[in-house]
Amino acid sequence: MEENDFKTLLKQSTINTSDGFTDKLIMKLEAEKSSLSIPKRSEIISLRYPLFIIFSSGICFMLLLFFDLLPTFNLMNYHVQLRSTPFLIIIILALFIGVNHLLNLKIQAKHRLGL
Amino acid sequence: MTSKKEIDAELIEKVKKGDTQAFRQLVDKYKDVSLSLAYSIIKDKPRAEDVLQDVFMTVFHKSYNFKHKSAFSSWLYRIVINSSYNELKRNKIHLELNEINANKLLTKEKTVFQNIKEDDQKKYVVLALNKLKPDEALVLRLFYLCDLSLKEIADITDFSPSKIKVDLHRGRKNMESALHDLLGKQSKDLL
Repeated sequence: MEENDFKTLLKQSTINTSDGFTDKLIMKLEAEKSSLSIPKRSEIISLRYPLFIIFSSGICFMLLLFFDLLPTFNLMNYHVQLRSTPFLIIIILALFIGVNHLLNLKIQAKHRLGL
Repeated sequence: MTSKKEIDAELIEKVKKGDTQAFRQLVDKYKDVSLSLAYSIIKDKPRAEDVLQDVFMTVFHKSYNFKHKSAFSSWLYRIVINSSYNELKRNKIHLELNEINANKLLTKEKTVFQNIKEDDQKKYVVLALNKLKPDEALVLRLFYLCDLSLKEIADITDFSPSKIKVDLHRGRKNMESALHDLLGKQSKDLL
């Protein structure tokens, strides 16, 4: 078969979506938008505890670092002393990830609400 | 004159601001070709449509990630193809069982097709494509239906250029024999 004939033939291989495909999709989006416009109280409460835990553990780590209170212990005949630098790096990384996540959430929320 | 790419870029910028009317225009423009690509892989229309609904929802929600590095269509096709392969992996066993049934059905209907007039070419083409392997049907549609170059297909599918060439070659051969199986001697008139 010639290349052009094949192309003509394949041009007929389009499959049409069923009626109302676009309407169904837009309706889904609109429904999602309206349900997102008012954040559910349960969602706000459920976020409160993890945020509190993260924030308080962050403060604990910072205090340990500030007063140089990191523990030393023996593990299988090895003397292990925790250094402050890795902790500092971990906290900074966690902070960056957290800020990035919050910014993403903000962009997504703005986008979904059409602001 | 505004090119197709520029029109899409304008529309997607509106979609980023949450404009559902602009989104509707994009959906109407690409839904059929996207469904054809999804169908090449999934080979089941209702499931392909479900996947496509999810794909367009993702496109709407993640539109702010689109940075205009490629054409909107390429970005969309990539999401369609990835989602379809994921769906295929999830339901592989189910599909294999269906394939056996479909093959039985095609053999049964073969005699019926021989009596149908040629004005229903589209049906034969879709049926023939349905008998091909997902990769072959997909590459054929991307190349001939979407008019994409080998490089563009490679970018979208992550297939190597040599695999694309092989799939195109085999796909064409298998398509011809599938049409011959379906239509018998009448396939020559169709071709």
